[in-house]
Amino acid sequence: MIRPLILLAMVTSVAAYGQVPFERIVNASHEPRNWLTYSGNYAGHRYSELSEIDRKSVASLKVAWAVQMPSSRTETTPIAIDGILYITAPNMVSAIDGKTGRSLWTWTRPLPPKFRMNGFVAVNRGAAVLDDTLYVGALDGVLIALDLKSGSERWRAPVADWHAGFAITSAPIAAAGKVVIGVSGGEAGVRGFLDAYDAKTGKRAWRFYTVPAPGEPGNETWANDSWKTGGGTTWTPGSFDPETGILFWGVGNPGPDWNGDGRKGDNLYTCSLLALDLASGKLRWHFQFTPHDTHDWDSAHIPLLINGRINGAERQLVAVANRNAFYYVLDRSTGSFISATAYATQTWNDGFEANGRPIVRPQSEPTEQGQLVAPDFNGATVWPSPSYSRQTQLVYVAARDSATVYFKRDTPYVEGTYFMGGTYGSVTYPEHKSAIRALDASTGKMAWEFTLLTPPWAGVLSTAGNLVFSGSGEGLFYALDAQTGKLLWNIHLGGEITANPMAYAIDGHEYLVIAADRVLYAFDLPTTGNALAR
Amino acid sequence: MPLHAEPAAPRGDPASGSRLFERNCAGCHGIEGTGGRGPNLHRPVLAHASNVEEIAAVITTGITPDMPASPFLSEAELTGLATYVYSLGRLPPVAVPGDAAKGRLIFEHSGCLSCHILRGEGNGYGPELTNIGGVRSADRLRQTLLDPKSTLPKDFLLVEVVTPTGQTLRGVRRNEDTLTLQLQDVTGTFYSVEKSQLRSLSRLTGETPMPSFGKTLSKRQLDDLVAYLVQQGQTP
Repeated sequence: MIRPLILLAMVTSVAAYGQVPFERIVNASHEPRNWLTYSGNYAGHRYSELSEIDRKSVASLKVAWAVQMPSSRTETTPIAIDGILYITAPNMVSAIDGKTGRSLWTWTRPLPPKFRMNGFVAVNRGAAVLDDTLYVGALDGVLIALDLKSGSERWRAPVADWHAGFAITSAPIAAAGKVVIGVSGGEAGVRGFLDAYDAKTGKRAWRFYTVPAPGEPGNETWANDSWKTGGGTTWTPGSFDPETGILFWGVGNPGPDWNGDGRKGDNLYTCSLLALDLASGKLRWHFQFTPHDTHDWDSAHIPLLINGRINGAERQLVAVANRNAFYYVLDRSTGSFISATAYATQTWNDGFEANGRPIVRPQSEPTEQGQLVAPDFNGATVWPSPSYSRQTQLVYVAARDSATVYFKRDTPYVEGTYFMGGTYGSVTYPEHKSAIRALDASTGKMAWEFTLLTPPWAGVLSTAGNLVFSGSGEGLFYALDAQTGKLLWNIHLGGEITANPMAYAIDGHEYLVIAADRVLYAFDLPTTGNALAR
Repeated sequence: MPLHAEPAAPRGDPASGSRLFERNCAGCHGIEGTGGRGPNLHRPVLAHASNVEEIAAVITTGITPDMPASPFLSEAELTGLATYVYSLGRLPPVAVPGDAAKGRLIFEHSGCLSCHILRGEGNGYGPELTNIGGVRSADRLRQTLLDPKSTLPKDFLLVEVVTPTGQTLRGVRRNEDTLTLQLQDVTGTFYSVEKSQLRSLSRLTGETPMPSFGKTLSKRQLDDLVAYLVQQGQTP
């Protein structure tokens, strides 16, 4: 039987607030057929309750469809709503049929002719949905609201000036009538911020500058006028706790990256986790992982909102696998430090004070002559997402074991150009040292690891099928046993995997999606008959 | 130091170019220009420019969308920087002792073509030598001939594996991923093996199939051979 696309069937059942009201996203785990935020839920878990594909059936996984993307290095995580996927590329969104990959509508926005990136690659990592609107950031610094059914623009909000070195690569977070969007540009001496916009009108609701101005708390952590070019961008989506209305968002490196001489002080709130009130944008607390960073160790990671047992007591926690090679567990309501455990090779840290401030090892700063430090400037993990499985209560991290020689140089600030204050020598990494590491969510203690030839740029998905999915730099997409790390299935996709996997289902039939270079692939299990007839 | 440290024939000031490179380019291309976030520039043919003028144009306008523009450089700075970048991928002709015509005969009678291709002749197990004079200095070529282990390319690896059936394979690693490895033996035959199934996998780091010619050739013969090799790939 050939059925109309589910999108059309849903028209009659759309509620007053549209197809995907806030409450539906809050309860995303109740409808695992859909993938309603960048991380699958507001808590940042990248975990799917789907289990058709499990440890036994995964051996039969096959390609369901493939979509050619417009540019290389695809990093998008699709949003999946009622059988339709919403996929993104730089200044492009497509709605595609989840059964076939066929396009239903495409929206594009031309880049200004003189637009250039400053120190990172032109990508887009995904969209956000709320009610009947899809939200996506454009490289040239604009947030756009699109009609979910047609791709027509509902509003555009100017967020940041690309001439100054800003860009938007991150997916937004949409919740409780607001759309929150972070910015990129931390290698161009910008002054970072996080913005929230009214979801219906596009009017800016608030802006939180991650580098405080004179008179604001935290400005005393910046010498002289260094705050003006202090970096602190917000280029990876945060997480949201609907019970408290608190938004958790990581902040990137200070500028210039590798020379801290002109910005003496802790350089708040760079390399920190912020807890912000979504309604007002007011800061509830912050925790700085790497004060006065000089290694480009952004704290731009997905914060994991988890519950765990600490010293026998059930606690609400926020956990971060940080670029500086430590897995941090903090109290979610106060930001107080509970523990930090190394999950990858590091040579910069000799322990922590009681409040979580790191004890920095001597001779780990960049110098004129060069200083070898681990991890390298891409860190022990980067933007690719970790995953938290409610089934195993393990956190799975794409961990990079690497080192590089850091050089310090003087860099004058020129608006819209590199402002890095140094450079690096050749990057070294031992083969088969980097790994997918499974960590106890509450303690960071390693349960198992699956070693990789080269440091990974792909995120991790765990599923209720007791599986962990990820990709390698050499193009392998693979499934591991979530309990043991044993390799259960793999396929060579022929392009570097620099994306996060996700899962969705149509008519009870599970699909997995991953991008490799410029192709987006979906996988499913063989069934009898044609997919369209199911 | 860069792999090939001799500067190009100066058009701009390569010393100032080197400083400008560190400040403006090394954040992505690495302090030696060997790549990192951006591509390796130590190659005889760059993807977007083939001479100093074209490199200068790329630096000025950038490459859509990933490489930023640098319109703020003065003409002298731009020329110095472009000259430096150009020098990373190639070497200028330099006078060397030795008789290249004699070197050619030595090359043809020393077994070099059993592993290398030069202008279409020979076997392709080792690196092609058709343009070797453009990318390797005379000193480095001499060092390779005397002590090949000391000049191995960064990603070169000789491996020896024992297959599940007990067969020993020895060859150059042509590719590898987390699960599999592809190698080529001296006959040119390719093998693809699943690493977890092997009885053993030895990574012969620092080893090479190329012999030293320090004892088989006299100093004069070495000079002649180097003089011949350094001519290869140089614009007449």
